Amino acid sequence: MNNRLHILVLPGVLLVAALLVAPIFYLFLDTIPDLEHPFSLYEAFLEKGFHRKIIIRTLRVALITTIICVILAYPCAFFIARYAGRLKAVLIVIAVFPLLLSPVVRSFAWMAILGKNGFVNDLLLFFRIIQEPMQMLYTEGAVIVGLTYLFLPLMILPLVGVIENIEEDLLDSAKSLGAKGNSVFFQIILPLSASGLLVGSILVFTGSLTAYTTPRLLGGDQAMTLSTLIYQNAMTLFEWDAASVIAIIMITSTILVMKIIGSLATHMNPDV
Amino acid sequence: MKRSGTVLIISILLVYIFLIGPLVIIGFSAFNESEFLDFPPKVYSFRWFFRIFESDMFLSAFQTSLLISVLGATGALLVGLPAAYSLSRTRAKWRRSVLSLFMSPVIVPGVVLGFALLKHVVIALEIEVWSGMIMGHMLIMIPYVIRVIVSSLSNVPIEIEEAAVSLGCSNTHAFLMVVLPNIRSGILAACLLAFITSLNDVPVTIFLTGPGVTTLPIQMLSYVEYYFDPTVSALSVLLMLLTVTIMIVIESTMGLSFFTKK
Amino acid sequence: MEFLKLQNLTAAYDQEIVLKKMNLEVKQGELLSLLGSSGCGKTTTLRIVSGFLKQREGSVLLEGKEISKTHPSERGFGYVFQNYALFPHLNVEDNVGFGLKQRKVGRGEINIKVAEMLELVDLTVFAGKRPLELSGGQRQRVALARAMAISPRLLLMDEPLSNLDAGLRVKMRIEIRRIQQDHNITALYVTHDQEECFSISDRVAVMNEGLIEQLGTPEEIYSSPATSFVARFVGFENFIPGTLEYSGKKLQVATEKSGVRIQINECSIPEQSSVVVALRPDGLELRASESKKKGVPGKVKVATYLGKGYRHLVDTELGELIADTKDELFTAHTNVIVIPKSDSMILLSRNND
Repeated sequence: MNNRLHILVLPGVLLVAALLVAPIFYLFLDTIPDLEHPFSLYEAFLEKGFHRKIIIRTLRVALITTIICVILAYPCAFFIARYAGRLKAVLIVIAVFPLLLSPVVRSFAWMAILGKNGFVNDLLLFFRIIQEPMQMLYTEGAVIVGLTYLFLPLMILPLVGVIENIEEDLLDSAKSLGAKGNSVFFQIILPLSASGLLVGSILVFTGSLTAYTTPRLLGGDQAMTLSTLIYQNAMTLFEWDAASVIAIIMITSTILVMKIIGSLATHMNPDV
Repeated sequence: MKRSGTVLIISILLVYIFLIGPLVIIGFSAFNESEFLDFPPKVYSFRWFFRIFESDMFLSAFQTSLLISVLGATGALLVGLPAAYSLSRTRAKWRRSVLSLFMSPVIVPGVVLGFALLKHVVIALEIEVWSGMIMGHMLIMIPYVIRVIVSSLSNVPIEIEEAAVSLGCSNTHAFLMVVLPNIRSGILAACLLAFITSLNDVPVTIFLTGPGVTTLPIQMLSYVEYYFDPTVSALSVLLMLLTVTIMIVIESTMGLSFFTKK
Repeated sequence: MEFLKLQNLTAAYDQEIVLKKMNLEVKQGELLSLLGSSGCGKTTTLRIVSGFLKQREGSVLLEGKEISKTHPSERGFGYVFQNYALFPHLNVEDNVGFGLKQRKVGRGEINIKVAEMLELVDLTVFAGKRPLELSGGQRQRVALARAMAISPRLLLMDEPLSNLDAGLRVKMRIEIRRIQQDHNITALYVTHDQEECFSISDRVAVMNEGLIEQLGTPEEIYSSPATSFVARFVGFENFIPGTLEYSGKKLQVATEKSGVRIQINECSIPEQSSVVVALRPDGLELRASESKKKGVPGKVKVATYLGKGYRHLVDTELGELIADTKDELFTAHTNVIVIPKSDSMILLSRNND
């Protein structure tokens, strides 16, 4: 019985190994031209100020997006998990819905809102707050807004799960031992849900770091990120060395972030 | 407590307006006569919907998308179902690593996946565009298939298979007769979830796309960058309807609370 | 010839040995129980007999023939699982008839047999229901009917009653015994509940850490446990180590921990052996310390009410002793005299520990 079980995974393992592990491994090898100057390609890439700027921008955008999502998502998730009652299912459905929509649709919506003829400009002009339409698209800010829109549900949903799991018994016992209102929140609920926050943050941060459609549509060439840069290098400029370097940088930073924040989360609450 | 109550309600309202508002706006613009995305529309019409069906590009792109997603989902299921079964029944030490391996397409950035596939599979092995595309989509669908089916199988304890065997079934027969009927809804949900993921994908697809092989999101992407008009809004509305339908199906089979679990 | 023979069975999970050269013979038509706490190897034994687990060493012989190579689906054994393992997508009828369907029995015949089985467990009205709609006790009966429907050569039951509440357990065990005896089916029954086990078994194998500590009828085991593990299982709570000696004509045990000597009736253990005197709580009498009777002085630590009497935890030179009384209560901190009753004693040889 055991041997048969082993065999059943084989096709899948081979598939993923052949289509993911091997190609990425070879990509990594591509970035090491020879053993004497193993980092020469990386150096060449990082020499350009343009590239460094984009790396920093990508990190910055991801960080800001994550922070905004944390601030917006927490009260939301808290409400849904503990006060929503019969609304809970509806609220969750509404939060899930955008996740299942194409990122093209979701980013396009913001193009419509932030464009020169878009909703925001129309509003501002209407109230005579500005005289001429503002340039909002193709800026870093637009990308941040778009990414926040993209990833907010990803922060809300796991948080709801974690907060839900805080047993009522825990809170009751804290109260019976003398903890009052705010104390209960800060000493029990916040620490226990913090690990959920961290998990959500991993999703949002790494997602923002590596998103493609949103930076392309809302940032264009003026506000490029690593994802749009890799596409440009690979498919427009045919600079495959640079593209490979970017790829390895992206995957390394993703894994690093996951490991670090992940172990922090597990350290705080081993059940998560 | 009352004050924090108001804070909570305000934040929930704001956030949910933020989540739904943009979709409502482009929903309206889809029915707007004018080609500017102004809101609210002054005149309503269906012209942009007709536009979609007039030109060939969106229809054929949709066809291509469907084909790729269906074929990819089939492949992912063929490979994923036995793997999920194995993972849920085994206690071997490799279980965790293999599970992580299967989840890796979700962790690896889409653009990295796409580029790596292009460079070291499609080009290196001289694989044609269609096959490359289907392989890429199979890859991104496998994590969903496996995760959902493993979860489904956890509700069918192995004792049920053993009971069937003790009553005379062979191992395979026991699986077909007693496990499969009980994970049907899980398999359906897995397929739908995978299907949507594949249908909406951009980062992987954009590296694997080629002449004659363009998916709907890619087509929409290029269109938007050249012609900034509500055709894409109309398409978005149609896609939203499709998504709602699929969500209804998933809810009636598996329940959407799946999304709040880890 | 014995019906089922387990020879030198050894089994392991990864590196942990859970069965150590176990030997057991089961007679045709008997209900033999494997009794022990979790981890002792009783379920492992059952799974080896059924074929769901492969043994590392040893053989399983049915009527003299080795069956270890036979696939579990071909052994024709009925298996009743602890969690019943009913097929959730089939109703009661189809669950019960499942085994017959695999044997390609005709529709008509299946219906007859299923009806017969449902009647046997008194579930005829529930034929069309799904497992989800049934209570625990009802599911248990379906599981039993399903196993019986294939007219099994051997019935294997893995703690079938442990998920039911107390009253139901008592009721159901009588049912199971009745069915087993009426159909003269050989049954191997696994449980950790001593009372349940003793009330329905022809013989009991008390297991501990992969070995059978004692095999015998319930009466034998209850009155003459062979080791202190078995003794503990059947209610002995006081264990006093010492040496067997003659003092003049009287046989006594010189206790290890104090000068107290305990009077023994005749026994077959050689003199000068190390022994353990074992007593049930009702084998110790309690008297107030003023009473001047001969016994072990002590002080009551805790007294609790059992309904049928009082239980006292008494601190003595021999250690903590547990003594029951029927009507008299000695409250905490009272000085008492503990008198072991010779007729209630069991002497265990020390190397059996």
